[in-house]
Amino acid sequence: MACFLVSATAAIGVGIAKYAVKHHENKFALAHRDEPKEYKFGSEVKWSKKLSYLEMTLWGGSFLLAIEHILHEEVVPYPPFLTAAGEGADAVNEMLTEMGTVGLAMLGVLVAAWAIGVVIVDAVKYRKHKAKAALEAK
Amino acid sequence: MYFITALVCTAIAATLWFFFRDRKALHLDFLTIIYGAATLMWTIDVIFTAAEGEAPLTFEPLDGQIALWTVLGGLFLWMIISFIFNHKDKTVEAK
Repeated sequence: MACFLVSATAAIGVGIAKYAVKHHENKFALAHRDEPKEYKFGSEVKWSKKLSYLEMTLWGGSFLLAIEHILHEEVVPYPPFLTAAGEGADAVNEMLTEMGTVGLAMLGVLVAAWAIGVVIVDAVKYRKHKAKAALEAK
Repeated sequence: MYFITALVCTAIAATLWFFFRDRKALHLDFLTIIYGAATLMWTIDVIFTAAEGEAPLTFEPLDGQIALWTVLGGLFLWMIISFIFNHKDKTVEAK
């Protein structure tokens, strides 16, 4: 009914967090620009970039599901925008239950998929860096 | 039906991303992410629908329409994002 709204709301939150993290990273980089960079696991890809991928995942999924909901006439372009909202308290309850179950499950799966992707990318980059460092040491 | 369409689109986008991984300006990673995210979300929907005892996959005319709009919507979003990111890169380079 409106399960995609959970992911869309989370996408807004992630977008805000991304800008805050980016600001912090820029400030940190400026303050430590003269110091040599220490390589750590996961330090090659910045957190702001990682979060932008999560934001993209959430927006992308929400956008396509919004299209589905519009074609199912569950979302309409006039108030109250959600068809269920104009069908009484039972329909609203059903909608909120669906958002709390299906919507949250969708959000959880997307975040989990993103987290797995981040760990894999970090691991691959870390291994590449280690191999390069070992070659340079020889 | 649109779940299967999104799944096929994800597979195609991922294959294209693999073969054209050096051409960053294409932003095929975003296309894969868009379809992949929708596929994951519809997977959950399918699971919950099946758990309620209803048919998880239907092949009605409206489903075909949704599938078509899913493909077009994903491509539209990808083009917009690619345009924004490529324009942003050019602005940064110009600075």
